[in-house]
Amino acid sequence: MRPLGTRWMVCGLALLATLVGGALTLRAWAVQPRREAELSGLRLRLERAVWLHEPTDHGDTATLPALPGAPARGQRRLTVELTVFNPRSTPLDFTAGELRLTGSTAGTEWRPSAGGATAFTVRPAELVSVTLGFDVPPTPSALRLEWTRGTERETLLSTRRPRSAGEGPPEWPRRVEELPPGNAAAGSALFHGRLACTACHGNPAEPHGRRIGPALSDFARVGATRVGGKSVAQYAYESLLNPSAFIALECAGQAPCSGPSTMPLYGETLSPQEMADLISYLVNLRAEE
Amino acid sequence: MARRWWVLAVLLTLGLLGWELGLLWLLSGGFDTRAEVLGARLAWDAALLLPVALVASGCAHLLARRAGQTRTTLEAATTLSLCFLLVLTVVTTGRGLLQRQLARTPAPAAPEGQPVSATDQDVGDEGRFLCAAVAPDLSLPEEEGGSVAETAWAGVRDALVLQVPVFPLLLLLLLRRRPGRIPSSARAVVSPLSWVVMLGVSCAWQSDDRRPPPGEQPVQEWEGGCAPGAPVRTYAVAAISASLPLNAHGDHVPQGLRYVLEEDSPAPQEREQAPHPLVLRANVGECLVLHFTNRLAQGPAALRIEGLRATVRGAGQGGFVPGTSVAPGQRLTYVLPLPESPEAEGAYLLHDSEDGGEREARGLFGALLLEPAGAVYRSASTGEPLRDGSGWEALIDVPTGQDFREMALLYHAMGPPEVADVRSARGALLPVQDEMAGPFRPGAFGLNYRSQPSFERQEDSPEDEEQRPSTVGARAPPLRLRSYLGEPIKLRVVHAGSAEFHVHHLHAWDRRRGPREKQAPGSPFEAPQLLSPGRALTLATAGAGDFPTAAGDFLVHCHVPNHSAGGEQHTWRVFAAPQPDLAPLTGQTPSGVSGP
Repeated sequence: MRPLGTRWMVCGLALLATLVGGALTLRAWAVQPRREAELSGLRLRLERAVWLHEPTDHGDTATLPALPGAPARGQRRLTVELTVFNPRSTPLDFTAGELRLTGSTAGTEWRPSAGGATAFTVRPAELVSVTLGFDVPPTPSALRLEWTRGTERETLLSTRRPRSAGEGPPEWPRRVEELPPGNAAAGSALFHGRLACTACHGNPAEPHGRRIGPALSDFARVGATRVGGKSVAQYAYESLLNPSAFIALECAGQAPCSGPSTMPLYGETLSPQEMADLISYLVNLRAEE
Repeated sequence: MARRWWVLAVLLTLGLLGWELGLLWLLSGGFDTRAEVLGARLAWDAALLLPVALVASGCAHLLARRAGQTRTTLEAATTLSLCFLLVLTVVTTGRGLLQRQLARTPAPAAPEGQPVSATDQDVGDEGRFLCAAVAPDLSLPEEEGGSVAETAWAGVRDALVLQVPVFPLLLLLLLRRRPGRIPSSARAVVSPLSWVVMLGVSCAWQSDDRRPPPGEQPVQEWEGGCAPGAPVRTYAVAAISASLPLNAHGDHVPQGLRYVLEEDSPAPQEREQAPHPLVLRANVGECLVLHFTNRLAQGPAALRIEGLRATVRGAGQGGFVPGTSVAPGQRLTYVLPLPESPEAEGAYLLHDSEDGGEREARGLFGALLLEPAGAVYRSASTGEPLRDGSGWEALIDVPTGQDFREMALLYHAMGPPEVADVRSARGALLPVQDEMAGPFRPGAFGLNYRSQPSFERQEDSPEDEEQRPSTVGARAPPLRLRSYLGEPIKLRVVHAGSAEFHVHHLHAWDRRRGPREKQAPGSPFEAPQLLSPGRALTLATAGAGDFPTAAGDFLVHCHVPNHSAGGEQHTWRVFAAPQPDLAPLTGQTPSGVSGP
């Protein structure tokens, strides 16, 4: 027979474990997001929250042009659709600034970047549908969508930022010389095949063929003189990494090219060897005398 | 003895699965969990919990034999529950550490061609027990690849949450095995199987949007929404299903949906072979009454009005927040006190974003255009007053301001670009293209239900065309924006739902003369404009001196390569001479050089 003390200790331990687990569950319940909430008399329901599809998600090597209102490079937008409802008998104010996205890392929070100026006075019995956007840089943190009015706060959503397909590109060296040796034949195959560069630049072997982007048939000469102090290889390298770095002087119909460039960001999809191969091909493109 | 252990382990496992389900339901916060995910995860958890229960039973039995004494039920239950917790902790911690070693990241990767919903309940990754999902903030490591200690502690927390019902459950199970201790009727109640059934029944009682909160009465003051004396404008809108023709090739969306005016229902297709999205008009300061009826054969439909205050009454109202979704045949009435401020003029999206935007992607969207106070709308083709105020293009007569020509452009995606259900005239899915801008299905992108995809089409010869018995879809002419040279124009550009960015762009040079003929550089018409979900913008030109400065054909397209190649490219034709089917603005007579 076990001593009475041991028996009670075992029993107490079992009970303690149950209580601790129960307390953790209750705490979970307390912090669990709720898609419907009421703060200071105003009710809100989270209708839909979507991490927007980006061109790069489906293998697209193009990115959004840098326009006003667009997420900065590397950011993803979380679009949130809300319905705000006033069940009270007095008008209540609502501003989009009451919503914020917070990261689990202390001090990280994002305000609405789309629809952030939204403000309404919601009259009794009225509802209003609001769509907001939050631009979030890469972060592994758990993110919480919080609604705050005065001192009251409610969590509406817990989510994680999805990784983009091209996220985590290799750290490209500053100098093209630091790339591995390139193979022009392999670069030609990339240019004419998988990357389909000819779709915009035309075939360099046909200088007067149809194209919408700048001609590359004499790139070895033109590229070498475009930017002072940059070799043709360095010029090609920086242009492939950042297509808007240098806007070419002449596009289709001898008209000046316009920025921002719509050329894909090949730094997100090419391996260093492929980059070297492509540059090797480009720097050997010369117009026949 | 072995059989007894097995029965105990099975019952304990079932009880714990029920506990996990109950936690998910209680703590879901109203978010949905996909059934296919849940089933696989439950099966995986059961496969781990059953051995844990068996090992714990064996340990408890060995301890009892070592003590050599008969134990009370309480002693047996406590010993077994502690053994279970011990083994479970080892399993959860080991599972977490193994997961960490394999460096599997918990952040979801964006699937190709699809947006990522953030409202599906996060059930954690497959390397955790399902109960870990009930409190991601508590049970998941804060950062991806957290320290070993964090991962281990997360495992301990998972085990503690999971074992909460083990002790009481074992107590009841063991009591149940001792005849005479509890009545037979009570045994049935405490059976874990009964618990699972009860939980299942409970889960079936969804905490949907319709359940009125305790003590709340449905709001009755909706009638007071509009200012006294405000002019009242009424529309009756219905959601219907209809195949949507996209272009002259007969490409179409067979499972299309759209909003129509009720007077067009129930046979709008006969009246309008090539429909446009519903575009309604009202003036600032008016009181808009909008009746919405779900005319779909099955399934709900919703009408969500972005950015305008409204009161709603009708079927299913009275919930915590009134819903905008109704079952087939049911009706909602919106009363919108439209803002009086001139700045409120513009476009507002109407859409059904429920069900993850699936109905919206099939065409259930439209727009409400707010016009200046007192504006009168006329047909862009005949110049006659518009009978119902709807239509994507119109002439707007403004009593106290400048009249203008108005065109509404709704950019949309018919679902994710690779999987959109867009079919040829013969009913076959259009082939997925994989060009510079990645894979997409032609026709997946469009403007005003019109898509002009660029791809090498297997054109039929005229003979084939004649011999073809029938085609599945109707054919639609291309979208053609039309205006006269020198007219004031307002272009209402709307992002019609879908989880994609669009970039509205006008090539301000005649498509036939080339970029050298670029017009009005710097005009807002020419600058690319980003469109994100729920947003709309107005581009206005005062007429002379602004775009267009010459007649011609101008390309309107989306600047995202896939979207343009997938169909979002259309022509704006500017005329200099009068056209028989294009009415001029009041007091303006087109004249000058010959138009195209």
